[in-house]
Amino acid sequence: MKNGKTGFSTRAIHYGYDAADHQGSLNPPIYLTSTFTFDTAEAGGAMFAGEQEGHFYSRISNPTLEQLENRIANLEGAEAGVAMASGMGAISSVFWTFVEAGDEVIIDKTLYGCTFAFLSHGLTKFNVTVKPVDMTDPANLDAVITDRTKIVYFETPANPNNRLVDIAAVSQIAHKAGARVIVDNTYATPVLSRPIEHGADIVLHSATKYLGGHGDLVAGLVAGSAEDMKQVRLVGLKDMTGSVMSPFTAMLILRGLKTLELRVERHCQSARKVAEVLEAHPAVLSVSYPGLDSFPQADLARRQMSDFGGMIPFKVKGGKEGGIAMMNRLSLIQRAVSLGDAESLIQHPASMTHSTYTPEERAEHGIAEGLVRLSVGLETAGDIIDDLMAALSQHNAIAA
Amino acid sequence: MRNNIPTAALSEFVNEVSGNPEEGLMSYGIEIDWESGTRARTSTKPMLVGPHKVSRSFTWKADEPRQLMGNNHGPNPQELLLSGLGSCMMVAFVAGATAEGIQLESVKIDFDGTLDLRGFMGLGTNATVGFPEINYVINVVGDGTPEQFEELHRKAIAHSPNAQTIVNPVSLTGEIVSKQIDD
Amino acid sequence: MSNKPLYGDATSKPSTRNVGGWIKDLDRSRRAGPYLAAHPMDNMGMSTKAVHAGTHDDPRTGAVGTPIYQTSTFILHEETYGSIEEGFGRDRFIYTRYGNPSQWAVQEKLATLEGAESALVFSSGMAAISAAVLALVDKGAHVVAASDLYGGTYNLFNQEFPSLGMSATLVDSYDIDAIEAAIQPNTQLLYFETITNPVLKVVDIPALVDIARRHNLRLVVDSTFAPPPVMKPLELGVDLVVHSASKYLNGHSDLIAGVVCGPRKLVDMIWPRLLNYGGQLDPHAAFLLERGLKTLDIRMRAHEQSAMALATFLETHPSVDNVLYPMLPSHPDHIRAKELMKMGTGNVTFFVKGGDQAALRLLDHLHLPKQATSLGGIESLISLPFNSSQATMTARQRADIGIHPGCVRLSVGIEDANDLIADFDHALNAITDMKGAA
Repeated sequence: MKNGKTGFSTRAIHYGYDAADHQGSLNPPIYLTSTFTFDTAEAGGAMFAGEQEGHFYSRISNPTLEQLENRIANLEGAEAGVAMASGMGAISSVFWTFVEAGDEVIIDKTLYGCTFAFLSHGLTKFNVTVKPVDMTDPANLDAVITDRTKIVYFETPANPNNRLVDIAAVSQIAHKAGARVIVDNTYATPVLSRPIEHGADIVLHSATKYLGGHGDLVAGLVAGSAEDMKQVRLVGLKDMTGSVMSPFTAMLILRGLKTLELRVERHCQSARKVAEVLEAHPAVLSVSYPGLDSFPQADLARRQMSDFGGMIPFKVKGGKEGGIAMMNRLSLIQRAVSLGDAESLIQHPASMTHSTYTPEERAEHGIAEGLVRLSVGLETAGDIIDDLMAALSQHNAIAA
Repeated sequence: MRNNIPTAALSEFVNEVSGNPEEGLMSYGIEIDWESGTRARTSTKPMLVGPHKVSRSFTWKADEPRQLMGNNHGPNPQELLLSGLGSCMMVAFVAGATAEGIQLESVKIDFDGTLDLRGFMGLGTNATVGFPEINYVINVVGDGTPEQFEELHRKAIAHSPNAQTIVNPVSLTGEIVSKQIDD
Repeated sequence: MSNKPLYGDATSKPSTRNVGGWIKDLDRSRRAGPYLAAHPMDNMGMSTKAVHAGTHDDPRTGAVGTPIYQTSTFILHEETYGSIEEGFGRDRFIYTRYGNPSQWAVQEKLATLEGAESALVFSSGMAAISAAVLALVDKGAHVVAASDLYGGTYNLFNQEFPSLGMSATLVDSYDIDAIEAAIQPNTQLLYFETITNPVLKVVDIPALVDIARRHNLRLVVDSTFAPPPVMKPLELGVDLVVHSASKYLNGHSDLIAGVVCGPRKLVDMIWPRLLNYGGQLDPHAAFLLERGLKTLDIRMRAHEQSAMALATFLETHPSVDNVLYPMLPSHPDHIRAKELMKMGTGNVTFFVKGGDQAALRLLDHLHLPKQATSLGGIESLISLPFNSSQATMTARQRADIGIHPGCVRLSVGIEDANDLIADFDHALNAITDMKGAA
């Protein structure tokens, strides 16, 4: 018990499930159903009219998804949650719910490539103004926000370079202008940071990453106020994107959440060791890890996060070619996009996850061409380090 | 499982037999082969539980002590008789306790019987050939009251097939098939 | 929708306490089940039963279809403790090896389809067969079984039985007199297959029932080749039916499962063997099996339609010596098949001219049927007994059970008959041409 409430893992394992409702089954059953029977036709009508609670069609709600939604809401300190088929499904469903033509959205300069593409290239087609600003300095937001601004959106730590945004400071500015603050918390997970506690309105996740944690599913989760989540469900999900999660996926995420805290602790421990070793290596130009003293926003990291995550962006000598050559020499660490899995993964953002940016945009948005992004997995830290050191030792020879 | 008897299955069987008496007919058989001296080997034959055959592949030997011209290689027929009687009373006692919901901790039945071999030997006396009486004590530990155990004792004897076979006259019919060996 | 706590079969209750009573006062009677809820299906058709029987619409949420109870264990409750104490743990949920709602739903569906009081699902057909057989035999027992049993079952009798101090006599399933003559004083069980593999004998089940009754034996049949739309052996008087549910019952070649169906009394005797041998079905597989069963009846119709058309075609083809399909008048058991089978299946066995080498070439020229063992899936599967299912036998031993050179075992799927015929026509012509060239 922490601060009078049960601990994170206890809630991640137990919250919101009563076995007595389900034949005593220790784990919630998987409701692999498309539809639900009504006791009477009138009861069905009342559910459609929103006058009676209940499930009536699995695109809108489903008992297995509901378990997951309640659990992520609890872990994020939110009132309610909504499950989606992917992280992009979650992001687009939320935006479609809260913006209209003529509205303005302010985004941080560093975002995941597809998020950036959806907002800068997709949403703008519908006469929504999207303004990227560097939110690492909240004053930049203050300078451009207007009363037309409906949403302030950012990632912290940001993909791929780990830049942080001060959630409390940004939220204060946004709320003064009447805008919703939406945070992509995929990197930090609720284990390390709960943005709603710092003032954000809505948190969303690519649950494909740490929450699922095993690289075996694609999913998104949203959490926020009960009223906002009702709107996201009935407008963004039901009528606009239809991006509904499979109940089987929901069961796997519920299973993944049970070890979330254990896994994230291990990711953080190993990442810190890896980051330190990398930083000391002569072939490495720079390492951007919030737990390192060299990290420019180390103070904010300590204030806003309880530990510093498993993601390590770094640059090696030789620019893009040098980075790619090093990646190709790895044997344990897999060359793949995605992150947060048990397996260590490495990728090259400029040609992969952030290829949706033009080279000019990447330069403008602080995504270096030579950057490689390492997702430190759950393998023994020494083995991950050995793999990197072997790749870098040859790199050294070439660079010299 | 109380006393390691599934009450539900016992109840289901009782009700099955009540509706279909054929299921309650048990047919048993054994074969006894003389081995040597006073020693003989018994083998069980397949039995019928209702109309269903059940393999019963068991054998044991009976013998007399050396004092009675045997080699003391097994229990003797009197001991086996008491064993058959007491084991049957035991089943009835435990099943009855289970049906009543009594949890047993231990049950032990102590038997004693004395017979006068002059009957066997044919020395003309008043002595009966068989046991004139059989005495036993049931030592039971369980959560029943003394009154319950007393009543259970009475019912166990009343419903024990072997006890009832011993206390009531039973018709014993047999024949002999013989073959004389030529010299 | 109900908010009552749900704990297994609500109709299953302990005997009322009878202090001072005797055994006769116990009032719990055996009943069909265990069932999650009443799903009466008595007068419904096979397809209706296939879709609805057992399928458990969750009363808490209204969810259509049985949820997947992917759980290893269940929260214990007064109701479960009571069931353990009274010995009816099979009617409550304790641990997934003992029972799970996802298993119960598909068990009820299978029992309903077979016209049984009760069913148990297993992790494979062999798990079902071994548990069922070993539940019905005792120390020193003897079994009379078919000499052309499926290899796994044959191994159970041939390899395992002697180690357990039991024995089996294997007899030609056509030879009713020899079957009766093989019965010994310690014989407890007759074990046969309703339709044999691969020569598709239709066994005289009523004659076996008669022998079993007269000799006080139990009769167990493996009806994998004749699922319920084809034959319901319990209606013929058989004691227990077992299936490899991996075949027609599931029908999609995507899981391994087995089932035993029969009277509650016997299935309750098998349940402890399931617990001891540990071959229970995973809840996710139970869900898939239940899903597969919903189309059992319509799949069987499609299997029969395509198999009948293809068998008829093969029979007329000059490169084919002989076709065995029970629904064709040329099959030696055609008259019995008409009596015992409500419809045909997808299994067709035929003999190509030119022996096993020609059969091998035929397989190379076929495009549609996959070369694989197993059967009863929606995709056609083909194999040659001489190098697969009966590879360990000599040519003479194979011939003794009707597997002559050129024997091809085919499980016709639900593909269009015209496509299958075209594929076989092409392949048969190709091997005939090659013979001519040589």
